Amino acid sequence: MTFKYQSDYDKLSEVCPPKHFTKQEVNPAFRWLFDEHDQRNFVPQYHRNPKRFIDTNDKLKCTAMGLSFFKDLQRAEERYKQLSEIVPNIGKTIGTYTSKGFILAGDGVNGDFGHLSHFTHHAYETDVFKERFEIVKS
Amino acid sequence: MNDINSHILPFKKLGDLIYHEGPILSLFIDDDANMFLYRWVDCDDYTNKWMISSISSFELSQFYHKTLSLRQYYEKCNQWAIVEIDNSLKIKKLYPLDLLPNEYLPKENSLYRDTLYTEFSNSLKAMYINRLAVISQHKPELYEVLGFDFVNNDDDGQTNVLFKKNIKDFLPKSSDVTEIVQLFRALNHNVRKKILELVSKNAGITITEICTKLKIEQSMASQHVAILRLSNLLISQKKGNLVLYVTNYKKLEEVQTAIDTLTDSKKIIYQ
Repeated sequence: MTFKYQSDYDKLSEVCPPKHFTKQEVNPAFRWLFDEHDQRNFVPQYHRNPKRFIDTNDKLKCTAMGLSFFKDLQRAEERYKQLSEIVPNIGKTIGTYTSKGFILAGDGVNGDFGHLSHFTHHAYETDVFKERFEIVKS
Repeated sequence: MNDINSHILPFKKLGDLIYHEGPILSLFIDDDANMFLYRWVDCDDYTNKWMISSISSFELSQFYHKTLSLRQYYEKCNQWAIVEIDNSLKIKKLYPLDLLPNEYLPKENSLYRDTLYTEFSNSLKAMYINRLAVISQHKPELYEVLGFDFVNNDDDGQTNVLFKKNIKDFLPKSSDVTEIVQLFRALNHNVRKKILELVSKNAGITITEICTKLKIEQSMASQHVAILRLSNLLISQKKGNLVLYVTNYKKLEEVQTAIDTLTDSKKIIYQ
């Protein structure tokens, strides 16, 4: 199967997604969204706002071509709080609502869980998430 | 920022300090080794706005020591600009603002947090705090630019970064010993230390406010403030009938450098 943004991955000098990413189910998973029907909700940051990537290397660009999720709601909220303390407008670029849903092993590949349970997901198809994720908090 | 009169920024990115789905706070350096923070502050459908501000090594050190929040840094920063830049760092638009909108300022609680900042930033922090850090992923040349020497440690293949051993590099810009002695004398008094701390937290404070907050007589406050002013640790600014005091961070930086020189030379000798 090819990834949704495979043609963009191919332009990078780094292997994207990284080889250590694996297929695994994550249930529940959490993601910040703009609004229930906002077209940007499951568009990776790099494609949503490419001008934000000033002087950024291909490794980080690859990360931004994936979708950000969290495994833990409380930790996701903590991360959001920390980011908004530094940049009060952060919601304008990453969304303002917390949504809850799930990722199946066949949806794509996931990176390791990082700080505050954050992980990056590279999807084969992103439309499936629109049905699976519901806003739980604003 | 007065310095930004060119449409191409001659800055090189050292690394991202905060990264979430893209750079949020990054550290840049120019050809003269002046450091700048780039902080993403806003966007709409077409543009991204960044706040560019100059930051000294001393401020960065204070930030990593958690004695200066990002908010406090921006509040006393007088070299900043809000710009729209493209991927090649060309300024597409400069937004002239006299005052920063509140939504562009970090919140009060913006002290350094290890969990929010990147591995690159935590390595810098380790260098500023311990003067020694182990790096494996970041380019050694960046640390050279910041004033660190590096040596390879063959045991684990990682690179140990040490402060430059050349003491000349750490001599204060004003190397006049008499002035340094005067500076240390000025600092070596509890009341003056309290005054400096108070002024650094309340830029533009008056002598009356200093007396009230520290509960000391005006004559005593005036005497100590005069010593700090003569040593250039405090700067006075006249506004109408009031005389306002602000900290001279540049001078404090010289003091810090002088202290670093002494302490580092000791470490080097015993290594």
